[in-house]
Amino acid sequence: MGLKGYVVKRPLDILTEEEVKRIHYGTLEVMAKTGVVFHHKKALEILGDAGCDVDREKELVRFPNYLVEESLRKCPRRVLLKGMTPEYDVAVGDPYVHFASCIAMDTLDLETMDRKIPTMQDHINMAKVLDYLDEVHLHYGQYVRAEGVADMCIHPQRFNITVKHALKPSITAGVFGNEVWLIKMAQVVGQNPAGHAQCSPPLTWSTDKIDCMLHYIDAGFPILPGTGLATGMTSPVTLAGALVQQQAEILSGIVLAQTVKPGIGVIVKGRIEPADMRTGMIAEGGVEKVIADAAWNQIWRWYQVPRWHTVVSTDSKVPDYQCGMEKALHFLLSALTGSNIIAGIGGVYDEITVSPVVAIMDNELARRIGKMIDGVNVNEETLAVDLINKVGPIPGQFLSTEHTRKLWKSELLIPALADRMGYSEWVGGGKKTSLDYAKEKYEEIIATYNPSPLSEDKEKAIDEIMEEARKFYKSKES
Amino acid sequence: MSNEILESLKKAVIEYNNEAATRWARKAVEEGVDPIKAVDALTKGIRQVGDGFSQGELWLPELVGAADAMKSAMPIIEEEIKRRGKKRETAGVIVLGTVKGDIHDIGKNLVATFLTIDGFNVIDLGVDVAAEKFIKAVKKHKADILALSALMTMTGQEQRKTIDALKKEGIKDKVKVMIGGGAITQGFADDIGADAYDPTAVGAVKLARRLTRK
Ligand code: B12
Repeated sequence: MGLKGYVVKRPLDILTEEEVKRIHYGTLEVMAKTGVVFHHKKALEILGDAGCDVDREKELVRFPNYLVEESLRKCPRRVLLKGMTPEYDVAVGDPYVHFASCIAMDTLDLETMDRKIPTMQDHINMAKVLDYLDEVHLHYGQYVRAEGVADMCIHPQRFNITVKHALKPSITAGVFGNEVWLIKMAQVVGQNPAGHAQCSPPLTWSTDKIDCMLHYIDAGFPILPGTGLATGMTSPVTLAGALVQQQAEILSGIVLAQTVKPGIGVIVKGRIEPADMRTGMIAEGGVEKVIADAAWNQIWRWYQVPRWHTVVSTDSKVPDYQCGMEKALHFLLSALTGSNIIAGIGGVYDEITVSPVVAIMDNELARRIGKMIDGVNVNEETLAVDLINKVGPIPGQFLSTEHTRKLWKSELLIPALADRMGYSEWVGGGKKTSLDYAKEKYEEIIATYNPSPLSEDKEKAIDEIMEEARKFYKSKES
Repeated sequence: MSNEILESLKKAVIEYNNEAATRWARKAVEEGVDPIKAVDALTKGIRQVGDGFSQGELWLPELVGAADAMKSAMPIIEEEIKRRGKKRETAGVIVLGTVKGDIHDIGKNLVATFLTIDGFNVIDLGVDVAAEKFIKAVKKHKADILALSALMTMTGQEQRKTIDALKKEGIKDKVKVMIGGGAITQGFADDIGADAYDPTAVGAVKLARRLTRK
């Protein structure tokens, strides 16, 4: 039961065991010596009671090593995210790799490929496309804004759309407390979307992010403690140093969570981005980020805590060679090193734009990566020793054998979007590119895929919660 | 002696040396060096680094390093200028910050650096800055420009609130407001009554020059 994703049989290491330990010990030293700021009265109290050294005036918490390691052991090895029905459940953790959508502000106009603010219909179309695609296992919402939707309503609004038009489970977020409405809706539909709470580097948790984490914990939903470092700006410029700092930020969140509710599900987010020292711009598609994520995967495999990555995206503004190259490299190394969720499907420009046609192309990318991870299937039948002996040298051939007829479909991946025709056929077919195929697929999905997972009662109930949220923020405006 | 001190101040900036900048600034005061000349020396240093940046020979770490060194020396020298009852000539005074609710500051810090290098006196209030705090600082420093950064659509509304608060205080026409940050557009700037907008930190300098042209 459930959506399975891919199994990474032998994850790739990019650090030595010794290096993993040095990063870990470095982290423990930073946590014990400098500590992490929590702008949150209750969190300070909880952590003080748990055995941390708390400086209330500076709101600074120093963590004894034993407590950090104890908290790590309380994290479950797998986290089950519930879909609309059990066949859509996703078990996040080793040895599985799953794919999720990216999240961004805007969409791309399908004709001009220019950036534009999404409409509610764009949200619905994106939710449907993501739900349809076989290699997308989790929704991370569609866009972080929509024409005509009040800014503060966006997280509940986009979740409202996801559950109305999709069957797969979600990971979610919140800003300034708006997650409370989303949590209520999830309770109505019987899902447990994991909640993203992000530390502000260096070493600082803001009030609303701790509130957010506590809201999700309170609901009994898994949490996604994360951070987002810009190397040389908000963290050391070196990847090793950035890893040490990032670990300290995430682990401090885990200590809080496991103290509040021991055993609460945790999926950690790594995100180290190189800042380009010529301009200060953050390079989402930089290879440094790919390497950092690979190292992060290895460290958290060692801790045995599920992990994910978001904005596995590109700096390119359109689906071009740069876009394909940056995403392919990132998806592949993340999968090989054991990321449990790669949240990058649909991403084009940083976390500024996502596009459903890019999601369709990424689906193809994810399929190919899945095939690569599966690797070589070795057994008596596939080794084909008897067959080779039987066919022998030329004029022997394999095309007419039972073996080929039976096994070619499981051995060969038939691309859905790529061109493999001869030149004249390609010209005759209108010189289509993968983008053309993706656009055709998009039209087909929108026209034919219409799941309606919710009963009328439930739809009504979540719409009422949405309305409540709208009224709440409207009254705050005036 | 005076020349050696001035040279050393400039050198401290082009060598990104905060400690030396502070030390030579103290020395300048002790030895009675004209503080206006001391500022000039620091400015020469920072211009040199700025030119290196424009020519693609130096990068942000150097630029920010030089600006930091200058910042280490300035309070000491400004104190002396005040003591002597003189006034420092700057391109203008700019109060800058990221608005309330928003803690994104990478872009804002770049804006501060570029403005400093261009000769503006930048008072950086940091992040999560409420409208009242901006207004207090504008009054206190008699700012020519108020520069607001916001990275989220939600916190863009704080820019509007800050401008409204300036109007309420009756000082909207005394200070020019420029805004920027990832979520901001020209349309939004027009809508909330900001005087200027630019999508880049380099553009912020051009805006500031334009807005302070008397
Ligand atoms: C780095 C980052 C963070 C870091 C910030 C670290 C720091 N110290 O700044 C961390 C991880 C802490 C973070 C947290 C959050 N972030 Co954030 N973050 C980003 C990210 C990836 C990059 C921003 C950046 O620094 N860019 C580089 C700089 C150089 O660019 P810039 O700031 O735009 O500045 C340039 C210009 O705009 C201009 N400029 C800037 N200010 C000014 C001012 C003036 C006057 C002028 C003229 C020009 C100007 O000059 C600069 C250089 O050219 C963006 C996505 C993106 N790629 O933009 C999201 C993004 C801004 N974050 C976002 C969000 C939602 C959040 C969180 C709420 C996430 C969460 N759920 O926890 C929290 C918010 C916390 C808070 N209350 O503020 C959203 C905002 C969406 C929206 N439009 O509403 C974005 C767009 C990502 C997304 N798609 O979701 N974030």
